[in-house]
Amino acid sequence: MNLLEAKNGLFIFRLERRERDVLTLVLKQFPVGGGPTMPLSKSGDEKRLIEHAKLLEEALAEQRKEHKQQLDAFLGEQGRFAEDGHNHFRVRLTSTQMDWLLRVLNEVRVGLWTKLGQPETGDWLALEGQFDDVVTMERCALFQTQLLAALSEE
Amino acid sequence: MSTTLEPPIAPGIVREIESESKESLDPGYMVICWDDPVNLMDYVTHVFQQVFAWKKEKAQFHMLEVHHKGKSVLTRETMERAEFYVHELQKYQLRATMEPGE
Repeated sequence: MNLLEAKNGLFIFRLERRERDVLTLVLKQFPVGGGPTMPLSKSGDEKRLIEHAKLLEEALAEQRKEHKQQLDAFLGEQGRFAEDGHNHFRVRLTSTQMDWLLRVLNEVRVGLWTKLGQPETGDWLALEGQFDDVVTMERCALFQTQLLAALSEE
Repeated sequence: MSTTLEPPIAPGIVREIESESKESLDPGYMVICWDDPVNLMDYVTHVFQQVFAWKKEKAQFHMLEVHHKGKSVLTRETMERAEFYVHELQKYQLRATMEPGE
């Protein structure tokens, strides 16, 4: 996935067919798991914390629902990946879409990490029978790195 | 007959004292981001820039503090604002909490 242009909040990438297919495959895994990454607070009134935790869960669930709808529209849009020569495609993303795509990829990545039992970095490859999830996490990280690099180019 | 009297305390000074005493009565809530082994460093920087509208240098400073020290106090706010920021950070899948100020 190569950045062709980054100007005025618009980013144009060129992808190989394989990259497009992998990106689509990874995005289709959304949502993975869910729920807060941590309780709202480590201290304070327990009753109040439970109440606030519920609000946080609801906010996250609502966001996940919105992201899923946006994702379906994104992947289903005619010409989203416009053909650009043999086995290549172009995709145009606004700054807002870049941020959204980063979030979605990260949620898949963190969701899989949680599913795997939140292992430390070095342990990932040692997980028996979970290789597919580990590979998907690494694919998410790769796309995230490319999007973040593009944002710093602008 | 009109006379001009000098006020006993200049208005600016009064405001400053009130502000200081309010601060000492209400320590607020600290918004803390905790380290984890999964979020990418550049992603964390990006999130801080988005949520707090910080420049990259400041966002990177806090990201590195999280990475090296295990946590970073990002801001100190009222309960409502702190809760808002924790929600925003968790929506980006960062490990964030709010703790009563010290």
